Amino acid sequence: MIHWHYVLSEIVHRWRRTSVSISLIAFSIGVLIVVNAVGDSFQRAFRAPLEDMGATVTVQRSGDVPEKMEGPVLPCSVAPIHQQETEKVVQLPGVQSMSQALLMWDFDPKGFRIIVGVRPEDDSGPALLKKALVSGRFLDKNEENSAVLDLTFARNANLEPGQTLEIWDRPFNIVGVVDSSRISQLATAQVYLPLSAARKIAAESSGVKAVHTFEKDDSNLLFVRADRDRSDELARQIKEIMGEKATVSTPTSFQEMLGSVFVLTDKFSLAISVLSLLVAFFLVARTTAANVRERRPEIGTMKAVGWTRKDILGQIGSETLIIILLGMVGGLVLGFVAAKALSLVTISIPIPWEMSPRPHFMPGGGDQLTRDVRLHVSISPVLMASAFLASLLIGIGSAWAMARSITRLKPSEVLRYE
Amino acid sequence: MNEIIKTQDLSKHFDGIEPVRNVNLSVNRREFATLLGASGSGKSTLLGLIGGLENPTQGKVLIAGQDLANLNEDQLALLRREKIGFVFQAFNLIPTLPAIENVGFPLYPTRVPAQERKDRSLELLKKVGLEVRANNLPSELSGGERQRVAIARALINNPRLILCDEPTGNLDSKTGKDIIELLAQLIDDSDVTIFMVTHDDKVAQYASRTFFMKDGEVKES
Repeated sequence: MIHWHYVLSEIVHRWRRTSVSISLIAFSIGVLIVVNAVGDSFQRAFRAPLEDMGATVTVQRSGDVPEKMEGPVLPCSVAPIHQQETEKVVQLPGVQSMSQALLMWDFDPKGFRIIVGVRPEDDSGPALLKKALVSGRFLDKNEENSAVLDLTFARNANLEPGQTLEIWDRPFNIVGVVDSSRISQLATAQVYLPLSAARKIAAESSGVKAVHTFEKDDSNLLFVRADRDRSDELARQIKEIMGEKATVSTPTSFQEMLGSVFVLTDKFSLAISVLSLLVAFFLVARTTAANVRERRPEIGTMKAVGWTRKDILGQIGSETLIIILLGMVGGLVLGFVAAKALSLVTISIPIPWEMSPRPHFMPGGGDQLTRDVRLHVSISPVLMASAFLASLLIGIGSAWAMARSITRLKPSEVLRYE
Repeated sequence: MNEIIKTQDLSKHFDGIEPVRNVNLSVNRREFATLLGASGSGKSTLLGLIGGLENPTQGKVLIAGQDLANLNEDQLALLRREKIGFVFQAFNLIPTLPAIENVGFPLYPTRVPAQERKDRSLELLKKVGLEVRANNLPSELSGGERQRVAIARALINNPRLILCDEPTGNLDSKTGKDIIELLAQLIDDSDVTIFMVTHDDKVAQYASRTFFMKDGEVKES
């Protein structure tokens, strides 16, 4: 039978020991929560540039530089991906769906344009621009001669839905305007055409044919939606299919671009968690043993006046349990406060130059593109459950230390006063 | 049964010494027995053996006919809870609990209702003249008051035997005398036996039987 009045009087009267124990547990649980929450938020941040495009992995392949910057050409970072290769990729284990696009530069005498061919029915890639419509409508899968313009380009060129745009002497009806900046910085363009139309232009373009073999079903950008856990393995398999020149972007590749510190943080978050738990375990076990040592006469008295070992363990165990629960609550509060503070942090994830749709030789084209991501450190129920389990482990450890000390204690030795 | 304490050839060895050597003694119901001896003569070790706080190396201890050798640690604790009260030289009160809770402390692990425990504790505090100090912490009490609280605690479970280890050792002579008189009064008021270890031979004048201990051996005067 546990006497709560006694439990509370011990906790309150021995406030110094109590507060040290609570602080130690709270700190360890706080570290455990923050390290893991920050690790998760970084993982989410590294996925952001690709998730903007609804993809887990993007695929492209570098090739030769166009001989002349005249008419439609393929940038050297996006050489053709042939249909046979695309079919092999889509059949890889873990792939859920895949979108294709075709990025081109058009060096027209009237001005330079970035063009992307889109399959409007896709659920990833530039087809997501249908969510960023500003006016008119998006492309329809059954039409060949429609075009959608980027908002900035439309404004600068004074174009709007209902007018016509000529690309390589072909007229395209402008059906809508989208704000590309709302979606992504990858695979964004000034002009969006149906993929089939873009393919025809590329296949017929002398600038493309001069350096590539472009078939009518080819594309040069793949957006693969797949199991997140398999993204690295998938990247390896895609490279095997597409050869050394393939650029396969995954959350890991974005993480690696940020440098070794982030890689280390990710790899060692488990180690830091385990270490903080071990330290807490050791310190609490030590504090509990010291508590038992300090209270030897009291425990001796308990034994002398007829308390059984179970009674004593129940009583002192209840004190420890309350301290651990308070420590856990303190750790959660600490974790929440730290998570809130860290959520104010924004990190800039660099976009590799080969993923930038703009030519580097154009004004501003050589600037490093970045995707700014707020960290959004959040504490998941799983993390809270882990913290609870960790506290429980600490409690079991301290109970073990306590039981060991109490069993060894001989009342005749601690109560003797000669 | 009239014999409350009985030891048979009781010995205890440790660290190459033998503080208790072949002790045979018996104490009957409602006796006030004292065990006199110099410091280090083995008195407290013998008291620990009688109270089941230590295990003998050899021999037997019987409390109200019950052989302690047949009991495990928890059974010994229960025997102490039901039949034995302890009074120590250092009082050994719980520093975080007020006097009334210290008196009721042995009953905490039992099913005695809280109100009954408080009523009994207050009654015993009255008996030792400390009802006005019921809510004071031990640190707020004098040495004599603390020992009175310890005596009240020893009585809370209506024990048949009270074992006292130098109960006046930390008190001035006047307070010590009051405490001994209080303990002697218990024999007259209730069915209790007192076995007291002391080096103060003035205590012997209150005792119905006196034992002497020297070099681990006990003789009765």
